[in-house]
Amino acid sequence: MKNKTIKVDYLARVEGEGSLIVNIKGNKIKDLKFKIFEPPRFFEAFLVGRHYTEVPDITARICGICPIAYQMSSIHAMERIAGIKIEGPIRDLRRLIYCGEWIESHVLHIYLLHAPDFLGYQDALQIAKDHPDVVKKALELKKIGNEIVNLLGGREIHPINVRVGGFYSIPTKSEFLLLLERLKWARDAAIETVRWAASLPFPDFDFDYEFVALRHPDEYPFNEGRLVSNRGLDIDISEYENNFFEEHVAYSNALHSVNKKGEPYFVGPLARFNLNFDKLSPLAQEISKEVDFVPPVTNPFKSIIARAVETLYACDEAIRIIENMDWNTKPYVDFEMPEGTGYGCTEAPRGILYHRYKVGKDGLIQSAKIVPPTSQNQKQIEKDLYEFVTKYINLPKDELQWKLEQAIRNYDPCISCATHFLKLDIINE
Amino acid sequence: MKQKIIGIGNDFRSDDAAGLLVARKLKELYPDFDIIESDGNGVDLLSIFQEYDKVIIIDAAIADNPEDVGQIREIKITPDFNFSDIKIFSSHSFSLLEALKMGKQLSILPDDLYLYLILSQNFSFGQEISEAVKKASEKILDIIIKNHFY
Repeated sequence: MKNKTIKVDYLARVEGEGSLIVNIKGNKIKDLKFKIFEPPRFFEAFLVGRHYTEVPDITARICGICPIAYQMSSIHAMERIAGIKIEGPIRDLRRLIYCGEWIESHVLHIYLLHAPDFLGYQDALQIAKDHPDVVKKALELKKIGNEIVNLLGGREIHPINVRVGGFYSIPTKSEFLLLLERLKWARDAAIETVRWAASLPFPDFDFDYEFVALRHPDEYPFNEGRLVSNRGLDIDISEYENNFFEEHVAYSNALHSVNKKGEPYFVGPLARFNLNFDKLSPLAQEISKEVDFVPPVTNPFKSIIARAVETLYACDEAIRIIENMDWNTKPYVDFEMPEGTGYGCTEAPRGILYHRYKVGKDGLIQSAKIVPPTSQNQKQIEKDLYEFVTKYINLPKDELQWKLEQAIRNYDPCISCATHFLKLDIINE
Repeated sequence: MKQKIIGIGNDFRSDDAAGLLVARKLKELYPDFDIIESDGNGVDLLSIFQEYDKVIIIDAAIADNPEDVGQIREIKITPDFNFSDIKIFSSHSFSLLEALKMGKQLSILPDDLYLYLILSQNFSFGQEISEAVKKASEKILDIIIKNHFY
C-alpha cells in the first residue's frame, strides 16, 4: 500500500466540531489524531457564584440535543446535598421526560445521521429523495419525543419546568392521555426501526471493551443506579472521580477520560444494553431476541441497533408511566438546602453524564465539575479508529475514510455542545 | 393562516444570541403572536415547516470578513428556490440549511418562508453581544415589524 493521508477537517453529521487526521506510511499508521474543538469549560466557571436553583436551567443550555440529561444530573446532585429522595409520581415523570429525550435524540441519529453511512448515501437528504416516506416516518417518531419533553419541560426549547425537588407544575391528565395513542403508534414504528436497523450491513469489527453504565436493581437506567462495568466495577456515583480520570491531550482542546489503568472505556446505548438487557421491558427484550441482538454485543457499529432498541424501550416505558400515573400529586417536595457537595450521574442519550457541585451556606455554587459522555468516549473512539485502520489498511482511501467517519458516528459524539455556528456565503445574491 | 416567528441562537455564545434577542423583543411587542426561541435543531424546524403557512426565521450567521459584521441578509425562500445559490456551513448535526433543503425535498416548506440573517463574528463562550450586531438586531426588528405586522 502506498502512503496516504486521510484528513477530514470538519466532520459532517457530528454534533459540534471535530476533525480526523490519519497518516499511513507503507502498511503502518504513522499518526492518527481525532481532534475536537471543545472550548474551555466555560459552564463550570460560569456556574460558580450562581444560586443552586439556577443550575438546572443554565446547564440545560449546554446541549441543544440533551438538555434534560444536564438538568437531571444537576438536580440529582443538588438533591443529594439536600438529603431528599424523590419517589412516586414525580420520580416517574422524570423517567417520562427522559424517555422523550431518548426518543428525540436516538431517532435523529439513527435515521438522519447514521443511516446514510450504512446505506451508502452522502446525507439524509439523499435518503429523503429516494425514500421520502421513511424520512417522514422518522420525523413523526422524533416529534413524539419532542412532545413529551415540551409537555413536561414547559416549552419547545430549553425546558424550564424542571426544578430541584420535582417540577414547577404538572400538566393535566388529559394532556398526557392525548399522547397515549400517538405513543402506541410510535412503539410500533420503533419495533420496525429495530428490525430495519438489524438488517443493515455491519463491518466485521469486534473488540474487547470495558462498557460502563448505570445499573439499577429494578429498572433500565435513566436517573439512578450504581456505576458498573463488564470488568467488575460496581461503585456509588460519588466514587466516580476515584475511578475515572481526565487527561489533557496536546493536540485536542478536549479532555480524554480514562479508567484507573489509564485505559479507555465505552459509555452509551451499547454499554447500557450490554449491562442492563435484563431490565428492558419484555417487549424490547422480545424484539431484540427476534433480530438476534442479545448481549454481549462487541461490535460498535451495532450501536445503531442498541439505539433502536432503546427507542422502543422509551416508547414502552412512556406508555407504562402514563397508564399507571397517579395524577393527584404535588409537583415538588419541600426541602432546605444545607451546604455540602453533591454528585449526580444520569444516562444521557450518549451515555453517563457526571456532575459534581459544592454549594455554600448561602446556596451559591462554589465549584462545579461536568463530565459529558462524549468526553468519556473520546479516547475509545480514537482507539477504535486505530484498530479499524490497522485491520482495514488495504481499503481504498475513499472507502477507508467513509468507514472511519462511520466509526466516529457509532458514538453519536456531541463535541461542542450549545452552538450552531452558522456560516453563510451567498454566491448569487 | 398559521404563522410562526423563530429566533435561533444561544445565549451563552456571544453574538449567537442575536436571533433570540429579536424574538424576545417581538414577543414583548406582540405577546399574542406565535413567537418562539430555538437552538437551530433542523429536525425541530422541519416539524414546524410541516405545520405552518408562514414562517419567519431570525439567526446570526458567520461573516467571512470583519467589515461585514452587522450586515443583514434577507432571503425569501420560494418553492423554486435554488439552494445551490446559497452556502451555509453549520457545525450542527442537522442544521437550518439541511432543514430547508429537506423541507423542499419532502415538499413541506411553508408557502411563505423568510430568513433574516445577521452577519456576526464572535461566537465564543460569553454573554456580550457586539455593538454592530446589536444595531443590526434592532434594524431587523424594524424590518420585520414593517414587512410582516402592517
